Amino acid sequence: MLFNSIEFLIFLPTTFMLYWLLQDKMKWQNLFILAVSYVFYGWWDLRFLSLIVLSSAVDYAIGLGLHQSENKSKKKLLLAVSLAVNLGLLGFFKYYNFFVDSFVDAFETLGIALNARTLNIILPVGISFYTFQTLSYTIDIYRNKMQPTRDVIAFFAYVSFFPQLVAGPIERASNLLPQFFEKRTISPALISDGLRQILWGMFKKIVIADNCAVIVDAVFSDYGSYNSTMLVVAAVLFAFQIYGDFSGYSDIAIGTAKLFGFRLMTNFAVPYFSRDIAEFWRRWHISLSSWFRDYLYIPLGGSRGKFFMKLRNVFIIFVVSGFWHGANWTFIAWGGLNAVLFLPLLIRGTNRKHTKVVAENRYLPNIREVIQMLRTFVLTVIAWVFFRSDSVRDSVYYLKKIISGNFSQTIHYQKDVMLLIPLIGVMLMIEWINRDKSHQLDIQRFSPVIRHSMYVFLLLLIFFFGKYSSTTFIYFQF
Amino acid sequence: MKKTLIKFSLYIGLIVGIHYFAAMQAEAYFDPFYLRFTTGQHTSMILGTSRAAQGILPEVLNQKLDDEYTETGNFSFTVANSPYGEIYLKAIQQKLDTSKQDKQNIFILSVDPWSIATRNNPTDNTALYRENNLFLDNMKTIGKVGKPNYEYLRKGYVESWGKILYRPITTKRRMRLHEDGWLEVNVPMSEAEVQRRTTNKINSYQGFLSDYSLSINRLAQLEQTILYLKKYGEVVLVRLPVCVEIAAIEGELMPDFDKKMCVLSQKYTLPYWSFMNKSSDYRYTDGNHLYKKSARKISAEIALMIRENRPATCGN
Repeated sequence: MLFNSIEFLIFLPTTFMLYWLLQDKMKWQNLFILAVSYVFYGWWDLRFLSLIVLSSAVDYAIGLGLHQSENKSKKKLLLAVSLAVNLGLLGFFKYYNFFVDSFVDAFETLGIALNARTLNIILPVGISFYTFQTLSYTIDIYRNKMQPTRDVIAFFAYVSFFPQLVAGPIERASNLLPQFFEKRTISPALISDGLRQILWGMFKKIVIADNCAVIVDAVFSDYGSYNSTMLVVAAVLFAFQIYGDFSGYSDIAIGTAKLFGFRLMTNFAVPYFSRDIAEFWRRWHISLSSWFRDYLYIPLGGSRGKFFMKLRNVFIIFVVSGFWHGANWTFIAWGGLNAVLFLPLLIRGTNRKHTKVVAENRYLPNIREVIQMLRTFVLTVIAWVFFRSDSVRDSVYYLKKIISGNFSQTIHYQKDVMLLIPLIGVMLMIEWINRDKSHQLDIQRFSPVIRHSMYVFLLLLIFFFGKYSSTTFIYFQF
Repeated sequence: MKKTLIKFSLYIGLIVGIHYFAAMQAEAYFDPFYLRFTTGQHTSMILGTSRAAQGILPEVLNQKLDDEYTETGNFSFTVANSPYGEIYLKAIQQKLDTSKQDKQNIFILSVDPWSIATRNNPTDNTALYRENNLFLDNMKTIGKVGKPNYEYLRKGYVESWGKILYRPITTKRRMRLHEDGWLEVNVPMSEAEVQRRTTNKINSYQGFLSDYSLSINRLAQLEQTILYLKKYGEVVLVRLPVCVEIAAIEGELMPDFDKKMCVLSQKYTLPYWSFMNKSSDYRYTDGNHLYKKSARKISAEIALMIRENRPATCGN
């Protein structure tokens, strides 16, 4: 079920009302969440529910096993089983064909022809997200950072919690699971805030991302036919498309969770106001970045050790993060390029220079900050070209074609581009005003007149400029 | 909490109200397909792609053939949505009124090389067809509901609902879809404008040449469409004219297209009329689509040919 579909418009208020009828009956509420989460997921493909059930069952049992076992090697074995099952499923469904194809290609370049078979595998929606979510549970228990739960319903509901099941935020068990054991009472403030965040997410998805997508799809699918100006326009618009799409999804997910009394972690914190690449990565897809930091980067040694080790760790985390996005060399190249962009900061030791929001306690940034933000944005746009292209070769040609300098005056889709400029401007302006808030439509501090004017304004923008065609979210494919 | 719920209900009311208002305003000027899904079923039909959608007027056919044939509607779309295939055939089956009529039914199938070709799909894999998952594939209410058709507005209409209100103003009503399904296009017809559009179209089609190839499956589905429609009335195949440059491109794409149609014509004993050798008799908006006056003219000619039961333009 898509958040921007008519089905969800019916599903959400119905589940909301039924859920709060069960107020004060926490166990029933958890069972209800589990049931509706399975309905939500099964709407796409009922068959893949079995994978979530399997993944949940394995980690539930292993969690208990890890807790009961005193033996270190047995604990290691149990963790290895959890990793093997979860990463095995992910590897099979997401990466099998990629590895087979790459293997065959590699041998062909050596002049050896192989006849390996790829399979017609459908990628289960959200598998990368819930796999990482369940893994965090077993790893944290293994590290004695949390206790396992015996409540099977609560655990299964945690793994399949529908607002964030298919595209995150990737919630740690230590944050989300305890909330299933807390009494949830209906809170007008939390519900209002949730609705505001949903509205903001819808605006970013339906108005910004889906309008950008029209131009981006046309240009990237036939980039050879466009001049450099248009290629730059499309690359910049893709940066806003993917931001609107993915952060929009996260906002809807977090807002929806609030309606049910849950608080999910922030996933985006105005990343395009970052002053360097390191800050960008602290603000973009935070739940994934922090997952890799805690479960991969730090165990590898993190920023400790000799320079070479630091370098290795940075490259590993960026490349793996790229590979997480999809079975294509473009994502690996995108990850690798981000590592390269990160490198100067690592060498100078300035990768943690900007930890606070830009222009804190000021209305406007200074010139230096503007230049830093623009520079970072340009670098991310270049990297996004790799992310969006069909192949690494295409991305290189795309960038080469930009550099070739055919900056003619002709702009295709002129009307659409002209419409998008003020719309993106509105988005950035609202984000700037609320850049230090937990989400960018956190406007509770303003007077009711301003708040309601803002809601009506956004609803009208959605009505007049939003695309209603229920297009899927980009991150569903990951 | 009560206050929050009341405020929320007011917003929901506002959202539902404004969308309902927009849906009620959905008429002839905002979308090139909508009214074909609000006018119930047809007994006689004009089928094909955008050439037929703009090029054959049911109004003219109905005037000229009223005494013998049932009322005709235009159920043609575009080469992306309605090339011959399983999806289009299923949509036709939903749109067709199969009840017994006092008069005969007539089905005019507009054909051209693009309507039986596939794009970027040399193996003719049906899973890669462009019409998959578009509105004709997804809709279940074709021919079943009147205005407003929310299913189409949800599945077929991809723009904002606000555009339903302002598009007729901003586009200066350059496009008008008639209730009978004919798409009237009112673009500037000065020589320079026509030349500009024609050049663009020729360039596009030249580019398509390397992408498109004959689809054996589509050809078979065209036969299935003929077979199905023959159960309910007369079927004629028509190849509408285009400018000579586009005709040459089509000749390159499918040199034996006319021969293929003549084979069908003989096999199913139905006429195939090609207007390609009369292309200079008509005006086009872009070299590919007939201008409305020429569309009116050719519709009258087709009506006459049906009435006179003219033989196929295949020679012997």
